[in-house]
Amino acid sequence: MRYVLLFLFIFLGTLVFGQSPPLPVEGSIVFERKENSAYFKKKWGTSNTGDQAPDFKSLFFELKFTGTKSVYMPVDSVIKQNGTGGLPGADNIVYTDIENNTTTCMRNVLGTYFLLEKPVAPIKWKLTGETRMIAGFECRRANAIILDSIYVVAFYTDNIVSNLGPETFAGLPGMILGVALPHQHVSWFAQTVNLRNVDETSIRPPVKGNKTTSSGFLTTVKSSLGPLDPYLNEYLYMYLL
Amino acid sequence: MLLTMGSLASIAQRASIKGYVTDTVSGLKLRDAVVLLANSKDSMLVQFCRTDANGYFKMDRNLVPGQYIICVSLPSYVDYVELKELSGNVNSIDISLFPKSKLLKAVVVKGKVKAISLNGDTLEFKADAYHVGANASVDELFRQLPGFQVDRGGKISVNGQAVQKILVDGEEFFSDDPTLVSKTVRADMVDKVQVFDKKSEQAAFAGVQDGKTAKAINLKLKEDKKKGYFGKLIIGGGDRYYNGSGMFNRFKGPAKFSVYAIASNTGEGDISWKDREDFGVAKDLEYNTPLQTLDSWAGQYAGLGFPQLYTAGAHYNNKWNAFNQAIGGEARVAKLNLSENMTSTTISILPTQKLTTSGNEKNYHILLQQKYNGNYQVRLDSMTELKAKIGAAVGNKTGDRNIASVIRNEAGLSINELSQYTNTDERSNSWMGELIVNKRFRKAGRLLTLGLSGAYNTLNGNGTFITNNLAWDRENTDTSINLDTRQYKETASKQDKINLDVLYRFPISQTSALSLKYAMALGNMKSQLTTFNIASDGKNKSIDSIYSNNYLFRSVGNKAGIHYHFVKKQFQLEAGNDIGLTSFNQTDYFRYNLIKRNFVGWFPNIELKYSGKNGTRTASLSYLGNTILPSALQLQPLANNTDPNNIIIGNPQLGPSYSNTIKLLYINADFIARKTTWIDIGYNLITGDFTTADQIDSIGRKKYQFINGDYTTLWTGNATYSFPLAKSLTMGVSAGWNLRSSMNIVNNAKNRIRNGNYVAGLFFSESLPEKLNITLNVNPSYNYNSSSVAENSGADYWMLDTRLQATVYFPLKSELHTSCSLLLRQKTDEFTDNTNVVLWDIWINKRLLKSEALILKLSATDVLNQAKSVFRYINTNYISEYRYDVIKRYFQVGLTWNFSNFNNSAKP
Repeated sequence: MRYVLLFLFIFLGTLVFGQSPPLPVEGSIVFERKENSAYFKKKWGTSNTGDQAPDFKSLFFELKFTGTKSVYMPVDSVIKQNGTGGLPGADNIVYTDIENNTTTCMRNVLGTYFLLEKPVAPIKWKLTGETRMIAGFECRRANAIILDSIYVVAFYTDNIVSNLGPETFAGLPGMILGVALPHQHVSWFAQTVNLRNVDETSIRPPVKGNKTTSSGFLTTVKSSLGPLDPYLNEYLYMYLL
Repeated sequence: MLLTMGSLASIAQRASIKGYVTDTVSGLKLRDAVVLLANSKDSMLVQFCRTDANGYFKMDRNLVPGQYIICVSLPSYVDYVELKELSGNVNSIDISLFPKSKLLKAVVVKGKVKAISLNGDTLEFKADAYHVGANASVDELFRQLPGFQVDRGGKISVNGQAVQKILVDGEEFFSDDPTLVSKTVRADMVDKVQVFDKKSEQAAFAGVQDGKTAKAINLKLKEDKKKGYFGKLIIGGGDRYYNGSGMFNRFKGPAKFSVYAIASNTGEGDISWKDREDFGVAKDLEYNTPLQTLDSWAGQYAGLGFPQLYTAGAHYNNKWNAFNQAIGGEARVAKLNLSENMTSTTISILPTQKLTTSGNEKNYHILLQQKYNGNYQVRLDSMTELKAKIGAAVGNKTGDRNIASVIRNEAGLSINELSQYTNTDERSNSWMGELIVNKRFRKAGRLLTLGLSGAYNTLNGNGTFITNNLAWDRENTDTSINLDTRQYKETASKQDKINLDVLYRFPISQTSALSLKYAMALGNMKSQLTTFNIASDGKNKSIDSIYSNNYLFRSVGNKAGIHYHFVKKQFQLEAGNDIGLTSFNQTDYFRYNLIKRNFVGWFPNIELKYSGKNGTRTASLSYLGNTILPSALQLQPLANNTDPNNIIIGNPQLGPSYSNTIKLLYINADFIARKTTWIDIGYNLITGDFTTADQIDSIGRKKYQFINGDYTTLWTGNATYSFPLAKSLTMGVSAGWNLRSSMNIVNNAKNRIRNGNYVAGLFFSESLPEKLNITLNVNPSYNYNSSSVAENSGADYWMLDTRLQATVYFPLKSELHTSCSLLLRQKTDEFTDNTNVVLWDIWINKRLLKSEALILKLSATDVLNQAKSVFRYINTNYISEYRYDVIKRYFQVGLTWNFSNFNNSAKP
């Protein structure tokens, strides 16, 4: 009965005011970051990735959003369970505010936390005609090149009004529910989409860490990790997204 | 960057865009719809926004004037996309979106299907793009496809090449007999018609060339037509001719069951009983030794003479276990009675004179034949596939033949008069078995195929040959010579053959592969021909040792080779060479001597192929060299006097000949512009070609022995271009040539023969669905022949072959078909009779009942009563014209009942 009333309310409302119902603007989405480690095992040999490592490694992140603001952070319980905490970018936290054109990212480099504040990444998206379903939403495909050379395939839905997405991916006319970096063998795909109201106070920038600039951060990563890992360039992008 | 450039170029010139988005049906203002602008050139996203609660949107941030794609989307509405020119100020646009829910109900999407496409080497026609009448069989569809021709007898050719096989869904169906399949399958069941060159199964699996291709058609059926039954019953009769046939087919997914029965004396439903080459095992090295027969009739009605045909057959095939196992089998029986009456004229051009032979032959043949075959296929695992086939055929052929001929010299005096009566009875049996194993390996591109086949054939026969022959030696003594004989012959031969073919292919890099081939062929033929002279009392018989023989012919062949395959982007290259070693061993038990011959053969080949990116174009250039071995008959030093005026003498010293072939093929099928270009050019040079040294004695008898000539060249070409002249009118032009130069020896003089023809063609096809279909072919040709032993032999002539086929659809469910062919042949010095023919057939169909399933047919065949079959052959220095009596004008009334039930509601 409640639904009937709700339906009547919306139906009559639209008739009276001559408007269509609004689309959702807030909610939370769980993304799975999936890495094909079999590919790296083959490329680097097992010594670097561990013999027992599974062929695919997954990490889970939650994106909470209201209108033009979002925060993207790891789902802690899952990290502890899988012991995947050591992966690069495993505890990235990204706060995005489209309206004020700022992002605040928290990055972990060998246990030291850094805070970066920068404008929203201006990604040039090329639209394609392709569509596919992700988590029950029809998504449209767009391609782009980021960080000068990394090819990105993204799927967004215009069913959700917020123009946001996982990590620092944004700038498409709707919510990005899937991202793949085919040559890096990594992808982020929405597993569950929850469009209930979100406590706006929980969406706030991270505060922990040393404040730094983009160029300063890049130097820090290269100087601290470079001597330890000859394959750093293969996953450096994870710190730069 | 785009934005900064724009702002530099014209700071004052800023474009903005605003408007409302509404629902087309209800008029609701739509909120939260995405309105986006993308670059029209590269679809880069430039700007986007969402409509507000009033369906209003506005974008005015630094837009550069120019062309954009504007796209408006909202879930559950159809996307709105438009190319929009934004001018340098405020642009207004109001957009209404169409709800998807309404779209499905209101709009039936009517698309024009892509009629022709080229898929690798396969030319593909979408059947629905061509219109045929209700209940039409697939041969009516073929008539409408560009490049296809269906002749009066139902024979199909594509771009001038005869179609040898028709497959149904890629599988054998009634031995792939083109005429039978095209009359069985309904046009409305066909999804696609695919034309390609069928290789042996082994060559197709390994992706290699084997030089053994047959023009084939595959009919891809529509999924929804594979569940149900269909068939037809036809009865027709008239003053002298009748035909009746029935067909029933039940298809259920992969299971197909069909039966047919035909009885007719009009030649309709003729089924080719010719033994089809088996294209399973590659048989890379095959040595065919035909069994010694007393009757040269092939056991087939080829449109000549008067046939009576009774035939029936059944076919079943099925797949199960997730298509991992398949079984198939069929049985066919036939009885064919054929009476023929043929008159012939042959001019023999000799160094010193010309002889003219006038002949007449009347014969009556009866053939009884049964054929059975079965096959089983199993996929043992995802890498291994096994195929087995067995077949058996039993035949009985009897013939009565009356031959009369007169040979006259240039003065017109007869030098040889012959009349011969023969009566033969032959029985044949054959068994065949085949096993193929195809194996792939874990590494992509690595494969092995192994084929083993065996055959056992027997032929037993006997015949009476009574010859009255009187000759005059006008040059020397001018006395008459009596050459009468009365002979009785018995023949018994048996043959077994085993072939083994192994091919292993492996990749050597990402783009190239090597294949290793090995083939073995073993053959044994035991042949016995005993000729008895019958004494004048008709009872006593004595063996004629000249014309009797008894021998065993063994052949052992081994062949091995290596081939290189290269594929990169659109290019494909194959090159390789095989070497073959063959030995022949002939033991003559009648005269106790042994002949041994060993041959080395070389088989180099190279092929370069290009396939266009979008599948509309293909081009290939190839060279093939091969050693041709002489046949047993050519080597055979045994005499045969079945035809006393043409006696063959074998040549045990005959060497192999070598053939070089260069071929160029280019196809361009532009399906959007409906233009097709087809160019096919070939050049063949044979050195040491098998030819004959003829010795014609003063009484006109020819004895010929096989020899190696110096060379033969054959130069052929065909170019066809078809294009749309108007919306429904297609026109085609073609040009072809066929030039041959060969040699023989006539009475010790070397003779070089040049003959050939040039053909031009013009083709029109007009198709107005449900109104009219017309095709017109006009083919003038020029034929020439010259012989170096006798210049000015005067055998050049023009020919014009014109065919018109039309179907006119009338109201009241009736239609008129007419086909008219006009064949004009220029008279020559030798052939002065009028051989022009106008063949005109007309028939009217009236569809009865609501379902149009019953068709009443009134037909008049050969309305002008002119039918005759005239052939002119030019063979070395002999020019012959043969005329056959054929079925002339007749009228028939017929009824056809088509029935079908495709049970689509009961989908699994």
